[in-house]
Amino acid sequence: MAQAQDMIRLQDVTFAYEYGDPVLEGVSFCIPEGESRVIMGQSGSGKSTILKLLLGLYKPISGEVYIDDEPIGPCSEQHLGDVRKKMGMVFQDGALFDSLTVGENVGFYLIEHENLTIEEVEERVRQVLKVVRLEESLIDKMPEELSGGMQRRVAIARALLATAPKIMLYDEPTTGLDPESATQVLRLMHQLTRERNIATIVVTHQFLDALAIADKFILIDKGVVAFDGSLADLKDSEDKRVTSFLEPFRASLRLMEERRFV
Amino acid sequence: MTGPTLGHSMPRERVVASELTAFYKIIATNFKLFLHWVVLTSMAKVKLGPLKNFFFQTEQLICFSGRVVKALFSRPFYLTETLEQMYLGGVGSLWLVALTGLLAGQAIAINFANELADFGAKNYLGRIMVLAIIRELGPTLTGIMVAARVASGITAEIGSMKSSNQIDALRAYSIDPLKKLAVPRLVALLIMVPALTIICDVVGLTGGYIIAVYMAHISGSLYWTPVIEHLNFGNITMGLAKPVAFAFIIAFVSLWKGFGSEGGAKGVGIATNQSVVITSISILLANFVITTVIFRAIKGYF
Repeated sequence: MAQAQDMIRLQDVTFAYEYGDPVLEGVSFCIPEGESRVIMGQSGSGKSTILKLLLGLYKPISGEVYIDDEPIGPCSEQHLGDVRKKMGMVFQDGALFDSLTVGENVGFYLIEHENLTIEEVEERVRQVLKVVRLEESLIDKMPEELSGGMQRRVAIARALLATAPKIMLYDEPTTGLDPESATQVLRLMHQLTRERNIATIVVTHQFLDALAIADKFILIDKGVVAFDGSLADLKDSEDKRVTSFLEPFRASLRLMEERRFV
Repeated sequence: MTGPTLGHSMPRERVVASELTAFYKIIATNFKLFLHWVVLTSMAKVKLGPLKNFFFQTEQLICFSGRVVKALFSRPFYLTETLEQMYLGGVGSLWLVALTGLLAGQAIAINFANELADFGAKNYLGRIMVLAIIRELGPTLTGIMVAARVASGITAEIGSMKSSNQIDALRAYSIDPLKKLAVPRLVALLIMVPALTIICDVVGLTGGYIIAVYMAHISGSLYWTPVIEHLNFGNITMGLAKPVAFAFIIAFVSLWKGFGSEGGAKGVGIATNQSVVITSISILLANFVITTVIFRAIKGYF
């Protein structure tokens, strides 16, 4: 059986904000197509920074980020636009444009970049709203009129319609959601990964949600990769950083495994 | 043959004393130097810190402004957003600027009408009003009012977009935030601040006319004739050069503070506050500089 191609590869990436200490140091991992990886870690450990490095919003101090086997470091901003077409990003709290309606948010990329009529954009918006299980009647609502779970699904719809992505990046997709909305969002993410063979990265500090969707886990501790492997390896790991991270979840770990979609 | 050295001819006690004196002198001199060093270092820490920060911030503002100007001359141009900003910033500020102009014009007219009446020179009121309002109060009051209303709005809006990742979302969808957000606001201000200034001038002069006719009992023609006579090239140039400069100041400072805000709601609040303060002070400073430069260029003063 042929090995799946790596869609995402970070090679020895080090990054620091201006005038600051390194946030990430020597981070390396790769993710093949159709596989989901959850990046976990405490707040401020550099998880969200990894997603912004993948999008080319930040440039690493050293090392290289490869998207679909192409290094993005040397890319111009214009070429980065083409690379980003392969990626859909769901930001923390959705990051919906609050001056635009749901329809304008979802169809944002098409309105800005594609030469389509309003009717064509609206038709495609309605189609993608069905995919994320939202009612078409929401198309004229403003983001603040929606619940947290609905906003996340609109953000997913926006990412899907924008680029027909090969890679999906989720930043804290279930934070602040009630359990039912969180489950709906997680189920949708899992379905997209499987049905569309998308390489998925989910950044979260909610380990129990990570369990539900991840093929493999990456633990970031103080800017370095403390663990990269399967759930079985994670549970068996004797690394102090891993055991101390898992400690609060031990009791509910077995119970939550039953909730896994994978 | 050399003679005996001074040391040899001196008693031992005196030698020790002189050596000790020399040692103390060295200690005292060095201690003085040490004190100077301590004082200078502490002064540098106290005084150079804010100064260094000021130059650093100024450098950042200039670099940011350069990027906005560069974005102004590159495609795409967002016409809908520009018109929307013209409406929000311009039309939305109309009543505020008109009211300010009316009240300021009336207050000046009352003051000068009384003073001029003492010299029997009430017919100079129109002349004084045109100089005060067209050259100074119209542009400055409009600038300050727009700064208070629009600059705070721009900084708060952009800052909250940044803190909720909307700016990053724009970039993720290959949209340059400067072209999409900054350029429309700059262009809208460049059009609307001069337009609002003209409205403020007209309303201010009309306010002066109301006072002249109904309180100072000057005839309308005696008020308006010198007003029209003094609407010459120099006054109009000064009256329109200032709002253009103020529009640049309001746009650059408010956008720079918005894009640079950090730390969530608190950070946005601080940035908004700083934006209004810096913009208002910069407008007053620019007003002084422009007045001086134009007087030197046109009138040959100073």
